[in-house]
Amino acid sequence: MSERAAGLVRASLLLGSAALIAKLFAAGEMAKYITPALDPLTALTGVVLAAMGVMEGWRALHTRADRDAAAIHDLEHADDGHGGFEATLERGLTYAVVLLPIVLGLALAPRAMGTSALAGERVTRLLLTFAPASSGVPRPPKPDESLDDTGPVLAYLRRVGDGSVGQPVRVTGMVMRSDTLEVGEFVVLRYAIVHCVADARPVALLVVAPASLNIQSDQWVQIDGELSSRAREGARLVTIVARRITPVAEPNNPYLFAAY
Amino acid sequence: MTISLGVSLPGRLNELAVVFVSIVLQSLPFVLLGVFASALVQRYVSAERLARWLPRGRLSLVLLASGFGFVAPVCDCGVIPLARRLGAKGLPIYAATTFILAAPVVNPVVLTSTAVAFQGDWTIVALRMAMSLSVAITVGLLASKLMPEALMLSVPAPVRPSRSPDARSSCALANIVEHAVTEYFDIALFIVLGALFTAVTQTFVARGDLAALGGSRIGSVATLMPVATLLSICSEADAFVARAFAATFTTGALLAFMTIGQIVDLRNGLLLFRTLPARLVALIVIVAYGLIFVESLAVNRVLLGP
Repeated sequence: MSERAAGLVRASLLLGSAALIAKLFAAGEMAKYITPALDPLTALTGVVLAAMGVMEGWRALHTRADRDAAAIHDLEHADDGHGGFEATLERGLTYAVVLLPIVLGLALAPRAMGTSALAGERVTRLLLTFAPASSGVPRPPKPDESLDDTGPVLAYLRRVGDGSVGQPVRVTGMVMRSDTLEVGEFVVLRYAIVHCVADARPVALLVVAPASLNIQSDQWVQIDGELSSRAREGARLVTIVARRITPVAEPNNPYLFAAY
Repeated sequence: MTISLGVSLPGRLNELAVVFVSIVLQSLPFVLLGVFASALVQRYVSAERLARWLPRGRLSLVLLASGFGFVAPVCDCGVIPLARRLGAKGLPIYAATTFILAAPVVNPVVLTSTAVAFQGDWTIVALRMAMSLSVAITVGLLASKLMPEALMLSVPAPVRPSRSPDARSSCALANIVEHAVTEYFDIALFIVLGALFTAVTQTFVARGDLAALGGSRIGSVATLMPVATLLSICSEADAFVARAFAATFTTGALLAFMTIGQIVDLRNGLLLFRTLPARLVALIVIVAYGLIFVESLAVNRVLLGP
């Protein structure tokens, strides 16, 4: 491969990476990969990659033929223990590997991680519990905001502990069924991420259904109910006694973006 | 507006692809930071100037390198390009290795994120920093004794051919970008492959039985150390993951998780092998695993009693 062609490949890969970032923002899919807190940095990265691609492309197009020939000669006689063939092979492999996430990201319609991402963890170990010291709060403080989504509900639970029992709430998440739960119970699951889905941590709440529930695992639901507590294996589980369970579509931002 | 082509993958493959792309996306800003820092060093820091700045003694040089993360807060994605360029300018390999091992944790950004994750528990922050420094300084001093003076950081075969000085652009910006592009494609193969291996591990390796070992002082440490190596979580995010383990695992195990994961990890392991001689990488793995294991057990003994 000539230096000019290699330069154009590198320029294309850099511009492809920038295009991937632009596509994810345009399609509203970035939140399915990384936290919105990093959006400004990611956008800036896209701009820098695009600028690098343009400059590399311009440089490749203006590479003179004599310099190109000298560069190829240098590469073929690289005195670094790799040899010309290995260097060329590595260059080709690099371009192919860098292309992989670009193609995947451009082509994929990403979905949120589901219950299978728990990789065999026992559901009872995931369930949110009240801290032992949190009992006995005489009068729970009123929530700062309406508890109509999972994030504010978790923040409120963290603030007041079991003083929150009796509070009407609305949460959204994925259904997770398990044989280890009692009849009429299921788990509503969300993942919280700090940077990207690679650091996702499950947040699971026990739900008591008002009637027999015919919803499969991984179905997104919205639950209206009341916070309660159930004793299980020496722990007091945060429990939502559901009044109404409504199947809903996966939200645009399926992850929780705070440390709960 | 939706412009997705709409290719939908089945459950585990979707998770694999999403985790893989997310690791690459999240790494990109920090990789760019590293390659541009490297390009700036290449253009503006001469070997003579660097030699004037550096202290003469090995101990003082290692100590300086271990704290350099406070001046150049690069994470594990960006530290190697910068260290490699400093090495090419004359920074001894043992000092560059100390910088590579310490900087991903011993920098203000990561220490602050650790404090936030552990709700202002500065004991955890101080212990994390101390354990990282202990490994970096020990490896640096051992390498200064055991490795030959002439040993250099490996500068891999350029993906694009280097050009003679007279052929270089006279424009500073174009020159810096040119170096940054070269550096980027030198390490991109290993960054992306590391992300792929990490995504495969996270998707297909079951973690369900880890909790059974969490309560044991020795077992918890011995369990979380390889888990950290396999998960390869970014140094700015791993404290939040460690916090999620807090109910099940001992404090020593959490510290081991946060320390070893930034020194011996799958994501950057390939790049480490590419940059450093194999015997130095072996030294890093042995010292890091051994020292962190012992220190974590000591932490458990102090915090939990004999």
